[in-house]
Amino acid sequence: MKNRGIVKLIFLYMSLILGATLILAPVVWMLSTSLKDPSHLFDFPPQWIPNPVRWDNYPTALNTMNFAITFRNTVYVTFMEMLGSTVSSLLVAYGFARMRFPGKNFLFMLVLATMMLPGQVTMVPKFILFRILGWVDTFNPLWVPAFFGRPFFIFLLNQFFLTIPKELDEAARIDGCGSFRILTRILLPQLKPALAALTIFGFMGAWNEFMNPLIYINSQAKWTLVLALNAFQSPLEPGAPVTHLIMAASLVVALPCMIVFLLAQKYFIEGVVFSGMKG
Amino acid sequence: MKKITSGLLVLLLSLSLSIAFSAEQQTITFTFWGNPQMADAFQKLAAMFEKENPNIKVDTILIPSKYYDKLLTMIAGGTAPDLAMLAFDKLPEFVEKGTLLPIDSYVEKLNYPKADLFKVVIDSFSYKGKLYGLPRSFSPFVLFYNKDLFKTAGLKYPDKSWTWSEFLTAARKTTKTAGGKTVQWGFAGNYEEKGTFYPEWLFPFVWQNKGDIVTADGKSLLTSPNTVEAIKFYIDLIHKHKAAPTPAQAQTFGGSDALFYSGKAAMIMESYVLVASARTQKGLNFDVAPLPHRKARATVAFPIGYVIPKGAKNPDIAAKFMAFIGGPEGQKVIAELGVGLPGLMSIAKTDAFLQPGQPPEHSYVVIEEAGYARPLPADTPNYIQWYDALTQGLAPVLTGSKTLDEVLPQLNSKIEEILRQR
Repeated sequence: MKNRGIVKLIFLYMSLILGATLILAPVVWMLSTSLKDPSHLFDFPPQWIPNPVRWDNYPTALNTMNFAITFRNTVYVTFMEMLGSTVSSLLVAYGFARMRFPGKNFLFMLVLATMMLPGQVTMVPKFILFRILGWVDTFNPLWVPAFFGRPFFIFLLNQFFLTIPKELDEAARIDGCGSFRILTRILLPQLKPALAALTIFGFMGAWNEFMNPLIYINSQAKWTLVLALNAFQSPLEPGAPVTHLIMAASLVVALPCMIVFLLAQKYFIEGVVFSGMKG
Repeated sequence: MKKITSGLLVLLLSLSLSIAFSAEQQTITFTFWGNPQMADAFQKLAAMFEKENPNIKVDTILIPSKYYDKLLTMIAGGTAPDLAMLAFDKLPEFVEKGTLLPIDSYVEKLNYPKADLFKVVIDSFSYKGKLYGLPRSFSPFVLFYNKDLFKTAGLKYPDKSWTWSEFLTAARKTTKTAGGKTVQWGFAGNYEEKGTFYPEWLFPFVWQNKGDIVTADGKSLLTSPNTVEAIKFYIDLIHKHKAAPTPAQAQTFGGSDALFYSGKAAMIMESYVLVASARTQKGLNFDVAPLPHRKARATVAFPIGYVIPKGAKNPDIAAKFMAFIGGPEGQKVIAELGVGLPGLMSIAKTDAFLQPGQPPEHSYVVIEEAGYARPLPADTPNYIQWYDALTQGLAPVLTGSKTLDEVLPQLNSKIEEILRQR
């Protein structure tokens, strides 16, 4: 019996290690390429351990992309967009899940319908709107819309609200809570895993957002990290190879995403356990 | 006293007037793609231009990626730049959409040295008899070769006298096999990093044999003898002589350029811009030669230039700036960047472009080849569609799963059908 447990464990670890290797190989390759001398980029068979190791690729890459400025811009836009989309979507979803008002179903369908529209269709009309507002080449088009709710978040939160028993609300209301206090005191603590998921989605989405900054931002002083990352080499024109710099920059840009994921993971897993109804 | 006061007043008045005039600054915007060095070059050029024209300000906008998506959005959204960089193959599409201004009158008014332009540049930026752009640079295909591999094989370096047969002999002699597997090819073929083959590489061969694929008036010549012979010559290099890699072989090495960089291929036909990155490859001892010829000399080129969108707010100033960066001063700065041949012949012949002392030793070859260069047939009807069909139709021939004779009739009727859709 004990033997079988060990075999099972070995099998489990083997498959986990295999899976992790498959997934980590590209990251290791990135790391390796980011430290290579440009003359060894096309070596065959390829070098896994760079020789010579070029640590200076990192400062070169970061300087090329004006890291201090682009990083600050990205943090600002990401923070505002996350704040806006979470708060507004929470309020809207709460309304849809808990309030009763005429036309509710129709409005909810309408919100969902906006998700079906491909971004390319709304690109030009949106651009014209923001031009009339005078917002081209400012950060506003990147984060202000987030304060008007994000359909995907609204949908997700709505589904989460529906899993929380209405009796909780009713009990709170008998104790004298208003609608807003029910949300903040009673429901919000139950929503932690959902909010953690939204944080990850929101962060990744805003951090890696490409099309909107590309369309609305003109001056290089307002570039986000992703724009700067794309500027190393134009696909329209080959030049001296800069793959090593692109890899170095990509790793640095991806790092915050990994950190956020690791931090939010705790709540994420709590969500699987399903909190709230334990006692 | 009165005189002095009035004199002072006049002085004050004229002063304030001149302030008012100089304060009336006009701004133009200029969009382009490129790497950080390109951005630096254009910022430098903008500063030079602003110094000569103190009341003009040039906003340079580097678009890091998806250039045409953003450019079209800007034009459609009513914030068209005053000047935009454009590759010649997009010109017909942009003109047909009514988004570009013809510039013939500006070229005349501004005394632009049009006679100094390479013919291929004028051809590529003209559409239906009107000129729409001035050149940044263009990059004709030349033959790059690895001097060391030629020396090892005991071969003479390629030169102007080379025809297809000398090319084939050299390609076969520089091909090496070990244990039944090819370890070095004479000719790297023309594959992108992922092993994709684009038929644009075929055009020089077809034209050298006095063939063509689609004519300007929309006729397919795909099955004409000269054309078939040229395509067959190319395919035979891969499958019959095994002197060039198949797509799968090229892919394992990361494409043709990588094959050449790593010394696994003795020759490659590539646009002259390859020089910039070939120089960074340590241990690569290379030079350039004209493409081999047969019935004629021919090569293909990809000109890039500047155009004025129709929605430009200041087309007059934009034209002035265009004539500046597309003129001798601007072309000199571009020439030093190594992004291709300047469009003005007089600048191409300067050391700024030829860069003696650095490989390739025979850099002037590209100037001679430019005289034989033709643009891709982007102005033929339904160019994108028939080009796509050609790419897909030839793919099984390159991999070797079908022969050329098997696919040609069907491919030809498909292209003819595409050409009929107007």
